[in-house]
Amino acid sequence: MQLRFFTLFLSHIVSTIFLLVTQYATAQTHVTSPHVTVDLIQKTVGCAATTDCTFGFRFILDEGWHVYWKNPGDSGAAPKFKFIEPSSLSTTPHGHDLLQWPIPKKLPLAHLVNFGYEDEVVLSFTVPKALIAEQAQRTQLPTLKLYIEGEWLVCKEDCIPGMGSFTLTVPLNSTAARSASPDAHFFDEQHLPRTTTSGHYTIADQQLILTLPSPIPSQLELFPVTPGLITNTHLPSISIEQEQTLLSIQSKHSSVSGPITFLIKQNDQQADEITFLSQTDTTTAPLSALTPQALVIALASALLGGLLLNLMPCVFPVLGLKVLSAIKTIHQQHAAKSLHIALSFLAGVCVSLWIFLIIIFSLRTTGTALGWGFQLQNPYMVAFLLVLFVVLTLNLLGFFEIQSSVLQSIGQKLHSRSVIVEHFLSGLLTVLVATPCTAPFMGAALGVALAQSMLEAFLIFTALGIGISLPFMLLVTIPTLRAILPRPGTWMIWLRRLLAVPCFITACWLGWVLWLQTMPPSQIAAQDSYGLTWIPYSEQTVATLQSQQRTIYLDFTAAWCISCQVNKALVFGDSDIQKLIKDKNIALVRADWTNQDLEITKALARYGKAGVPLNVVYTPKQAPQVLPTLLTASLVRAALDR
Amino acid sequence: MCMKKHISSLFLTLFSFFIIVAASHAAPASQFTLQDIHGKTHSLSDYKGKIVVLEWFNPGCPFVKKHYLSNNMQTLQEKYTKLGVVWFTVNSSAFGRQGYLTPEEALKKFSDYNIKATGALVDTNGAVGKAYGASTTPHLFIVDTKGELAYQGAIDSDDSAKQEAIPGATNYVAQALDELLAGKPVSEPETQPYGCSVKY
Repeated sequence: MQLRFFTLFLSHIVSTIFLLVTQYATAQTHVTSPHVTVDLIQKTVGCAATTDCTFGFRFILDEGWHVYWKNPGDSGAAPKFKFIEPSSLSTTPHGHDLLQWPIPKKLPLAHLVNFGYEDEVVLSFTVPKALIAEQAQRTQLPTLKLYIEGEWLVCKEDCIPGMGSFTLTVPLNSTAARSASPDAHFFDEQHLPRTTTSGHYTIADQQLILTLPSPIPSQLELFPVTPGLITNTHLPSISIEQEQTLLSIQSKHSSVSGPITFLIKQNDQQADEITFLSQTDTTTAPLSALTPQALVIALASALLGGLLLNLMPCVFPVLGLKVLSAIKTIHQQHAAKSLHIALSFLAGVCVSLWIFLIIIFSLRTTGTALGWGFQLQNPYMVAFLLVLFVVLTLNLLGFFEIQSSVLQSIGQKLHSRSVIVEHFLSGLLTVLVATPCTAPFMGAALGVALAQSMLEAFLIFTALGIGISLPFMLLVTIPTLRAILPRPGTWMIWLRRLLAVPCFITACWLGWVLWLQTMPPSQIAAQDSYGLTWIPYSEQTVATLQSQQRTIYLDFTAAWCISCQVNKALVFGDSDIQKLIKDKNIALVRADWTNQDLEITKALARYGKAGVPLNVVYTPKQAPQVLPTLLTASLVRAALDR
Repeated sequence: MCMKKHISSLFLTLFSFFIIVAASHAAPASQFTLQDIHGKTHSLSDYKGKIVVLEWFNPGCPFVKKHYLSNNMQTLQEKYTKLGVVWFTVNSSAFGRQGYLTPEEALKKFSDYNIKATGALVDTNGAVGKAYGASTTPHLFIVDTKGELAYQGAIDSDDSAKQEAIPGATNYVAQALDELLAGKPVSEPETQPYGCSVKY
């Protein structure tokens, strides 16, 4: 009994020695190349066919030299390993699927940036138990043999490629598979990112927007795993909406399909590697990004917005005029025509909105980000609208004869086909004259619509068109409502004169916009009506102010943007805010988008916006905070005091 | 009747104006004017109607060496320049940085490497490199006959520094040039470039 035990023990020792000898005879685990040494290290002394077994490549670099992450960034190349034995270990030619990549560092170089590791790093990999068992069965040996060819690039200023072969044979022994090797601590010292697949992304206006379900700290670094999506040196802006965190960063492409992966690094120890699914990939229905309820809400708000537009100073006179002309038509002709009139007007309104939508979408596919309000950035367009409103005002005041006016041809006695054409064209005209008033409204609607698919944007715009036309349509088609309308008479002249007032105000405002547009920029006072001094925007200015550790209030605005003017009155008219700006020496930077400005359009796109208003607060050492579209003094105070 | 015509023409004019605004936004390749190593001046506009290849070059970079010592780059240069393609190497290494060549050194490298390109452009201040967004050597750009950027990225699909990797890789530049010469659109207009960083 004792003898048998002893023999067993002896044979065990002999086989272990044999294994150790064969291992060292064939082992090649250390490769030296210029500025780096690479070692193939084991986490455990041995392996077993019943458990997975972990190994790693430990790179030790000379000071100042680096090797690359799996996405090397703007230049360089990631280390590559060809796993020859066990043969089916890696499914990609360079073994990148198998390797565990610790959290990388950004390595800036002039205006470029690389992603990689300095000093020391371990790229680990695990051989699954099934492959260990399969090899042992094939070779009839109680060992696991590794044979790997490696190639890496080390760079400082220069780049030097290195390469070498690694061979290692480890014993298959369940005790050895459980005991840590002397190198085990190198594995534990590595900080690997957590991996999740829970984000969504969308691209709108050249802006890649990543949606994370949970809040994240404002100090973070973004490393694209999927190459070529973003400019690596750009920093994302972060905003929190409805308990979701949105990261937006300028995209290199106007559209991307399939999942994309980013590593979001909080610090050297913590990072998440998150795969984002395209919002259009997540559901099969063509109505993709918005849930049915959200879409209903969006459509309802668009309809309501359209209804409200009827009361705006530049739309109201035009519609008033239309009602007057419709009263005439209906009274002079048959009431049965009323449905034709209503529908052709609706068609006119919707078609013109669709044309705008098509222009903006087609520009987006050519890579040009154009926000709503682009119509008003052109001084000729503003001048044209100004003339239109002056003519309209004069016409309403009765300065020239109704019959000779182009605008008043609406409502002329024409045969039935012409009636349809006339009302269709007057629908187009309504949208056109409404542009000065719609721009601020549409900015928000378009922001929602453009973030979605073409179909959703189309539906939202159609709802808006229906909203605009609805009051007029109801008035002319419903007999009881029509009956309320008084018969044509002298009262119409007085109403027309009354309607001339908002028309004239709009004309004045357009005149002011045109005056600002045509004036040389140097003549625009640096000090605004609130006594605050603004620095004109440039990317360089913001970067310089940031480097001076100053808090920056960045205001994207335009003369034609009414909500921008409202925001200013609410915020900078507040004495507490004025005091805060002086006390904290806050730098005020203004990006004026009254005229076309490519730099500002690009900057807006970086914040995920299609138009103004946009207000951003930069506080030292924190990610920029994008404020909501409509501001209040307390909200701005909180942001500046952060 | 006359009024109706007026309104129609008014809208036609307006909407065609918007469409003109829309169409004028196509992005052509950046224009440049640079001297070559012989002191001759070349502008992109001189080669209107021709396909132009720009190849970012640094003689000391192992990835550039991979494609020159294997004769891969020269073979491509020779094949496509014979088909009427204009091919320039561009050196954007700043004065005093790695890869910067004096005029004499540049001439010597050109003959040592037996470069078959149309010419070797010198971009010491890096302006053209930055305008194109050249980040690596090699980094290749193809401007089509309409003056638009048709390809940007790596020379091929294998970012190894070993010459043995060349035969198994897909050559994106040859692929794009073949497609352009056949009048077809480029199937892969952008790839991730690999190599050493451009020493701006």
